[in-house]
Amino acid sequence: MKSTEAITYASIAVIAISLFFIGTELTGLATGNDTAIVNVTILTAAEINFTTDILDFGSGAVTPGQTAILDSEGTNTSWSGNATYGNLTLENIGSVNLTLQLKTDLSPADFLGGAAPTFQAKVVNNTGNVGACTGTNVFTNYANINTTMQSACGTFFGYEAAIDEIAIDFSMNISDDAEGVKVMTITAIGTY
Amino acid sequence: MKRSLVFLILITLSLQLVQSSGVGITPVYYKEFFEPGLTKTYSFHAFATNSEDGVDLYIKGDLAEYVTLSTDHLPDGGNFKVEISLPDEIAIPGTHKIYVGAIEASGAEGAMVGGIAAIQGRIDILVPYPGKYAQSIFKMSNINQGEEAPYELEIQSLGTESIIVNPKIEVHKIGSTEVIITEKFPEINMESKETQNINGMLKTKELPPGEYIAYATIEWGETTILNQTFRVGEFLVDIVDYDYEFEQGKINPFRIEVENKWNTRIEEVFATVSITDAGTLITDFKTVSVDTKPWEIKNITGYFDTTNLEAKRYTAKIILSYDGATTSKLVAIYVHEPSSKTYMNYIIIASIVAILIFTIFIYLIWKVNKLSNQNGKKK
Repeated sequence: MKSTEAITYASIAVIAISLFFIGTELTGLATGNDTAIVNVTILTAAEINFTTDILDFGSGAVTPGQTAILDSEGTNTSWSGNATYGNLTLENIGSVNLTLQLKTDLSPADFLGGAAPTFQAKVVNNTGNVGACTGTNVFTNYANINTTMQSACGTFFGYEAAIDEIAIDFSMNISDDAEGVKVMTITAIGTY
Repeated sequence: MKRSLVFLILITLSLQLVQSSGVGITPVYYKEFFEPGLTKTYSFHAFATNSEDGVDLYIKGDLAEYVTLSTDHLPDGGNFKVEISLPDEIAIPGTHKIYVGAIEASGAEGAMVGGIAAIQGRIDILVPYPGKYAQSIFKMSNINQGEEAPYELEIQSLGTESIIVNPKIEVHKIGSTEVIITEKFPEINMESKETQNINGMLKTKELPPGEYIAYATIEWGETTILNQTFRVGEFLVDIVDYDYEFEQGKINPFRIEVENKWNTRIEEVFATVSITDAGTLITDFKTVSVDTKPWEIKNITGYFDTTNLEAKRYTAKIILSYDGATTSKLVAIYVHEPSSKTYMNYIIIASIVAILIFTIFIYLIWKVNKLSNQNGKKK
């Protein structure tokens, strides 16, 4: 009987020990929490972009003895050509607000020639972009634009969608003694 | 006078199908405290959209003479370096700005010129002020009702001497002097050229919806007070305005101006409009559905058919629906006769009046003549 009991106890012990080890066997499965960190730093970028079609005032003749008045909103007084509708559209496609200035590469005299020419610009928020351009704006209405940088959005040219586009219209007076092919470069400078 | 022919072209650079051109720079900003003889190099990246001739680079500002570019032209955009070699002394204290510019290289030939974009990043060189001096920046964000408002307070010690700073923030309702919330901070010892950033959340959970103003007071020997307004939003899209006059006999647009008063986007906002006459439903319609940004004011439009309606006053119930909630308003609207019909009525009335005046005039002349004849017979 003693040997039988011993065997019995031994068996129970073996079973218990085996169950113990089964329950605590390392499986390689993680049982605790651990964390890792992924870091990325997105630098701010400043970028402006002209998104426009060609603004072509076409060809025409000034009525003799008169001064033609043209603008990109359909005015064509004393001008034999068609009226022009359009503008330059400038968009802030970066990730920061900017200030904006404009200038030309030619004076009106060098651009148009003739007697007493004028060249003016007007800067407004593009349709659907209320508040895109705030602060000092020399070109709230048509104003002379020249080779000196002038403020168009003195405080804020926005980058967020729906406040990031402006429209630039142009107006000019041409005397009847001007002639030839006329071109002009408008430079828009966005500053952080 | 000779006639002259002028051909004007005002164009933009059109280098791809989308006919757009632009230029960019990153990063846009570095800040550096002045140290005598400081030499340091900064990295930038410039890029151009649709510029076949790449990007020209330049430096501007009152310290430009101490700045060198690694290159002044990038054919395809790319990285470049800006090295500064400052002098031993800069007499004028404060912030000196060095502008790092990138401009589309025009490369225009013949008549191909147009709009050119240029972008300017900045390197600020801060020259300490003699003695004690501090500058601060304070920012607050809009929140929704029940939230805490985040704030950012940056204090810069820009003098040559160290300072002891005692900041605090107080919140008022707009237009009121009563302090609703006060947040005080421990005293801070700041060395020259040191910057302290204090970020946290104000205990604004109990604030009702509305506009508030937060004042940040920074005592550093002198007192600097900065303020920022912020809004506590409520979950509401309100009806701000609406059309109330319509023409009889046609389909009229019915515009409703709505305002999102929540500091979060609310989508799929639409209105149901019911038109009644003395309690009887005449017609109803729905507007299109729109999404509204935080605090946005927007128009939504439905269409009101007045073809079979009399010209008179009606009642309209406007119910705005959004995200399980509604806002309603009961308003009076008016259907008018067409302007052409009204104009014809005026003509008819004017004609009748003219005829009456003419008739009276003729009668008076006849009467005068009759009296004259009678007087003549008596004589």
